[in-house]
This record gives sequence, structure tokens and C-alpha cells, in this order.
Amino acid sequence: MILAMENTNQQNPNPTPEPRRLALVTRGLTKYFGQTCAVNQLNLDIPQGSMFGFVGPNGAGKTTTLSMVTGMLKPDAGQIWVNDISVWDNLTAVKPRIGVLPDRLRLFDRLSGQELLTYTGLLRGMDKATVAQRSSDLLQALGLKDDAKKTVADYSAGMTKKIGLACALIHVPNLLVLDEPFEAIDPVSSRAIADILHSFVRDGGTVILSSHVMDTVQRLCDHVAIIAHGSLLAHGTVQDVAAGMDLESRFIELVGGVQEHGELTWLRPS
Amino acid sequence: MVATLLGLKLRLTIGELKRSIARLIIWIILALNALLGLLAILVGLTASSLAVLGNEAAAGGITILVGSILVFAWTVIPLVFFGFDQTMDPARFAQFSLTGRQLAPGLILAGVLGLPGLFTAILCLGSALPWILSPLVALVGICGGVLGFLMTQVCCRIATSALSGFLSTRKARDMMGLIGLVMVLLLSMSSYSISLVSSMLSADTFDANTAWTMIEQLSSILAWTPLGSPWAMVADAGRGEWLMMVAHLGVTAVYLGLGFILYSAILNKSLTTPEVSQSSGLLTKDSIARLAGLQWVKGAMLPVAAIVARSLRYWRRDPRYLGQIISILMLPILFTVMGLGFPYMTGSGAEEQFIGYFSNSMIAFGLGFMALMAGYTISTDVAYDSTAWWIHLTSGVRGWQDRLGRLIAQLLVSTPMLLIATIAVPWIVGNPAVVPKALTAMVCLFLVSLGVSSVFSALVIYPVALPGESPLKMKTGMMGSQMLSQMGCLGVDVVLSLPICLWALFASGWLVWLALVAAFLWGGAATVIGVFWGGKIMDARGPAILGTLMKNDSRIES
Repeated sequence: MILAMENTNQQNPNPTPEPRRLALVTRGLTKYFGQTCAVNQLNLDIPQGSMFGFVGPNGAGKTTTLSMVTGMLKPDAGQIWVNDISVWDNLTAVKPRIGVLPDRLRLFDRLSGQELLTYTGLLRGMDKATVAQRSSDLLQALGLKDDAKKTVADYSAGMTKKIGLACALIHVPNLLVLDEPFEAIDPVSSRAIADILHSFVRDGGTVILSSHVMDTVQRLCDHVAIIAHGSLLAHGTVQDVAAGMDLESRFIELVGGVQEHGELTWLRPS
Repeated sequence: MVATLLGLKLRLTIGELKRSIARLIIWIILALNALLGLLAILVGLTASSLAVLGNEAAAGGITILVGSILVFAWTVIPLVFFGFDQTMDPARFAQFSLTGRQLAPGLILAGVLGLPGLFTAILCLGSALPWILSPLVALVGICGGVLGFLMTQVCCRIATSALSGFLSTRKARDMMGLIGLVMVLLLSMSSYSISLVSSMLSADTFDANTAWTMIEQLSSILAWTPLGSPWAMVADAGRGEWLMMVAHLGVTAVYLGLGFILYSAILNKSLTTPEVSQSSGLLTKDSIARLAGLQWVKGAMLPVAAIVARSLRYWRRDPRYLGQIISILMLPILFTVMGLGFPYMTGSGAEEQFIGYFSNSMIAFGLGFMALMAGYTISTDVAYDSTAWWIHLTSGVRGWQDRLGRLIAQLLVSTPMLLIATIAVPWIVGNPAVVPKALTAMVCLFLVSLGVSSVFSALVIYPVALPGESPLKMKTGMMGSQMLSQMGCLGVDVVLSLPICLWALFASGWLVWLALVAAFLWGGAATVIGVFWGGKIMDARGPAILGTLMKNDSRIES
């Protein structure tokens, strides 16, 4: 199944001829919150070096899945492997390989952007000189240089996303797990981030990003999974999943589509 | 428009109460408490003016004084307790094409549908109670009460909306929160200080008449200000000075009218100029890099150094942490004042030796309690991080590193305070010989408390004020779990520290110094065990801790 997926993958310029290793595998991944099933028997195969889009309507279980992958939420059932290491059996071995950008969680926002970045690097066990070098490069690349010494609490939503992304990158992970990385990001920063991610993938890294903007996913990703109500609806290369349509139409078709609404006859601006 | 706004406010209040049963129960308990308190105030006021003083002029003076304090409180307190009631924030009406004049009456009156407004209204109407025997005067009192209530609301609205631009900066909010905390702490002390002062005065010659003249003079001045004019009407009527009453009515009407116009104007401005959140000043140095760059910090100690530096930054910059420092500092001050004042409080006849003993143990208790609380504060640390703690969880920081970093920061912050208190308090009390003993007990209590808290805080995460919120903000469910954790922690602390403390108490000569060494060893062992045991628990419970933090964060709905 993986091999078949590789054959149809035209977008990725990676020339390796042999089947690529898998960066992330989940089997039977399940999570309940009380009675509600947030993630139901999820089986994912994400090849190394792919840009993987994880899409679904609000409350589909995207964040829950990503939290379980990154060691932030314990699954009720199922297994997760990152680079063939079982995540929940070897948390200390896996964590250095993953870079995380959660959605909606806070940052230590009384620190300046630069300090937050330094802090994250040092927590990762990096030495001070490396941290200083990389954080300066990252701040430059993400256009945060001028605001490096401002407290994160005074950052805009987009700047907060960007400093979070920098924190996820500083220890050079193999796998980047980004929850809604393009939310509240302006087009210029968005392009900068996309460039960073592309070069990260080109060099063999793997990106999983969740989004509910289909355009972004279609433009950026080579692989995609569609999830709704905690279950996987489609999974594969973007072409395979889109099946000749554009991704948004296919998504709406799979997820349940637009119901027939009564026409708003009075909505006629004069 | 008035009815629409009142309906909105009512629905908001009901919705807020419906959100959780626990909150409703707390609300009812609070309401009953407040009601009883109000009743006591009203009955006290009536009784003191009728029965004790026997003249209605005095009642008038007191009414003006209390009423003025009420208006003043409504003007100042909402500023300090920002976020006190933002349900009817004028900025939320900016999208509708409404003028300030249309909104103003509704927003002013909406105050009555909140808990504080409701009780203020009852209190205002109750101000007529002392004149219950003469219906006509009482009627004037009720009218004055209504006007007085309006005055509280108008003043509150003007103050909050005029300063809302200022209060929207984070620095200003931080500062206001701290001022509020200091006020609460001072208030908690004030009743004691007042009774102390009054009992000291009563021992000597205290002239009741002088006090009454002072109240009379003060109230006659206040009667012409916006603070006191609504309440002066009933005082005039009680004295039979009806002309004066009309004058005060006129003044009140003018003040209310001007207030209304001013508020409408402010509203107009805030409806058309959206608030721009201002950023605070830039930070200059990367102190985290500096501390972690120390030569001897290597390997596994690098993350620890980073956590120390980050914690120290928060101790300095976060009002929630500053509030904790203030509370710790208040403890020895409070208990020393109480201990020193105790001999004055008791009348003659009590046994002198017993009094001395009691006052000394009160002072000692203050010091010990300070050491325990200083150690206990790290229990709140992870909860104060709130969901930002995910960075610790995902970066693979080990539990012991997390525990140790926070512990060292707390050690650096508290040691100077504890040292000063341990030396200064016995000196002030006039018993400097006791310093070594006190030091022994303090070292033991503080270190043991740090160790025990390192374990407990990995187990129990309770809701606290979130980042950026006022340190005074109370959380639903905070009282229960916090009390439980606090009782547990302090209980274990006391049991573990008792041997050394008793040794210090009864030792003499060089044995005292040996006890001090023992205190360091014993406490040191407690912190080491606490760091590693707590770290182990934290490693195992990481995702559960993050889950609790997310549940306690109002920013995350699901």
C-alpha cells in the first residue's frame, strides 16, 4: 500500500528510488473523552520526507491525534511509532526527534521572543553557543529580528505563531508536528514559513501540519489525511485523495457536504 | 434601550450562574454572607444612632460618612480589581450605531443586576432605617438612597471608562492587581490595628465628644461633595432643616446630571475610537542565556539553569509571584504586631507570665509560618505556568530538572527575606539571644517545606489566577483543592520538622549550634528526596498534569 502511494507521488522531487522509511506510523489509535470518542482506530502511515496535511472539520480529532503523537496526551488504545520507535514506550528517546507547535496552548509570555527561544533550546539540552547562533538565524528567517526583545505577551497572534514555530525548529527535529501553523499568519510570513518547511522536507525532514484551509494544504502538501468525527476518511497522496477534483470539493463530498438551505430571499442589498 | 440593556445584563448574570452548579452554590453562600453582613451594618447603624446616641443628628452624620465611603469605594475598587465586571464593556457596543446618550442610562442602571450592585442598592435603601419612626423623614431617606445608589453607579462608570485606556496596558493591570493585593492585606490587618489603637486610647483619656465633633465637621463638608450630597438630604430632614434638604437635593441633581453628561461623552469617545493595546517597554538582556552561560553549568544542569533563570524572571515580573512575596513578608509583620499588641489587648487581672508567653509564641508562630509558606509557594509554580508547561513536557526535560530549577529559584528569592526576618524580629522584640534557635527552626521548616511541596505539586494541580490575570482573581474550585493541598503539605511539613524544632527549643549552649547543623542536614535531605521523588512522579504524570492545566485554562473551551 505504501509502495503504491509512492508510485503516484509526482509532487515530491525526492529522487530516492527505494521505498522510503516511514516517519510516523499509528495503528488502532483511540482516545475517549468521557463517553465521546475523539479519535477512533486511527491508522496512519506517513513517509519520511513528506509534507503531510492533516485536515478535518472543527472538532474532528486533529489536535487530539497530534497531542498523542507528541507525547502530550496518553492514548487509550493503539500504538504510535516515530522512526520505528514506539512513542509511549520510549518517550525520552522520541522527544528529541519531534518538534512541536501546539494550537491554543500558552507560551511563557513574560519572556522576550529571544529569551523564549533560548529557553526552549536550553531545555532541549543544547549548549548556549549553539542556541545563540540558531536563535539569531531563526529570528532573522521568520522576520522577528526587530521584535526579538519584546515580551511575547505583547506579540500579535501571527508573531506568536512564528516564535512558536522557531521554538519547534531550534533543536533540528526529524519530525515537525504543527497544529494550525498558518492560522493568523499574514501572506508574507506565510510564504517565509512555507519556504522553511519545504527546505526542511527537502533535507529529509517530515512535516505534519493540521489545517482546515484546503487551499493551503493542496498548495503545500504532498500527502494528506482527511479525518471527521475521529475516523479516517481518506489517506494518501494529495492527487489520490483529491481524485480529480480540487481538494476542497472532495473534502466537502467526503465529510458530508453542504445541506440544502432555504434561500435567503430577503438578502438583496439595494 | 434601557430595557434592552437591563435584559441583556440579567441574561448574562443568569447565564454566568447557570454555567456550573458549584458556582451557583458558592454564589448563594456568598449572597447569604453578604446579606447577613448588610443586615448587621444596617441594624448596627440604626441601633447605634437610636439607642446608644439617642439623637438623630448623629445618625445623619454617620449616614453621610458611610454613604460617602460607599460612593468612594465604588469609584476606586473597580479600578483596582480590573475585570471586576466587564460584561457590559462599552467597547462591545461599538459595532452598533448607538450614541453615548442612548447607552448611558442602561449601562448605569445595569449595575443593579449584578451581585455587588444589588447589595449596594439594598444598603442604600436601608440607609433610611434609622428614621423609621418618622415616616416623612424615612421617605426622604429612601429617595436619598435611590439617588445615592445612582451616584455610586455613575461614579463607577465614569472612573472605569475614563481609565479603561490606561488599564488596558498590561503593566498598568499588573500594577493595579498588586495595589489591590496590598489593600486586601492591609484591610485584613486594619480591624485588628483599629481595635488595638482604640483599646490603647481607651486606656487613657479618650474624649467621645471630640470624636463626634470631628464626624459632624467632616460630614458637613462631605455633604456638599458628590460623595455625600445624596445622603445629606435625610440628615437635613431628620433635623427638620427642609430648606437645606432642598439645597442638597438640587446639588445632588446637578452632580448626577453632570456625571451623566460626562459619562455619555466618554462613551461617545470610546465607541468611536477603538482601544489600541499598547506594548510595554523592551527587555534589554537575555538573562536566561546569561545564567546558563556560566562556566560551571554543564550537561544536565543546563536545563536546570534555564529553569532557574526563567523562574527568577517570573518572580520579578509576574504580579502573581510578587503577590506571593508580599503575602510572605506580611506574615511576620502581622504576627509580630499582634504579639506585641497582645499585652495591651487584655485587661488587667490576667496573669502576666501567661500573657508574655502567649505573645512570644504568637511572634514565633509568625516566623515559622513564614518559613513554611515560603517553601509552600513552589506548589503553585506549575499551575502558574498554565498550559505553557507543554514546552517542558515536549522538550524532554526530566521531572527532577523541573523540580530542582524551581526550587533553586525559590531558594534564591526567599532566603534573604527569611534571613532578615529571623534576625530582625527577635531584635525588635528585644530578645536577640534567641536568634540561633529561631534560625535553626527556620532553616528546617523552609527546607522541609520546599521538599514536601516539590512532591505535592507534582501530584496536585489546582486552579489559580492565569497568566496576565490579577493575583486576586479567585477561581471556582480553587478553595477546595488548594486548601486540601495546603493542609496536606503543611501537615507533613510540621510532622517532619518537629524533632529538629523541639531540639532547637530545648537545647542550650553549643547544642543549639549542633541543632542548626542538623537542621541543614535534615532539611537538605528533605529537599533532595523531594526533588527526585517529585521528579519521578512528574515524569509519570506529565500528560495528566498538562491535561489538568488545560482544563483549568479558560482559553481552552473543549
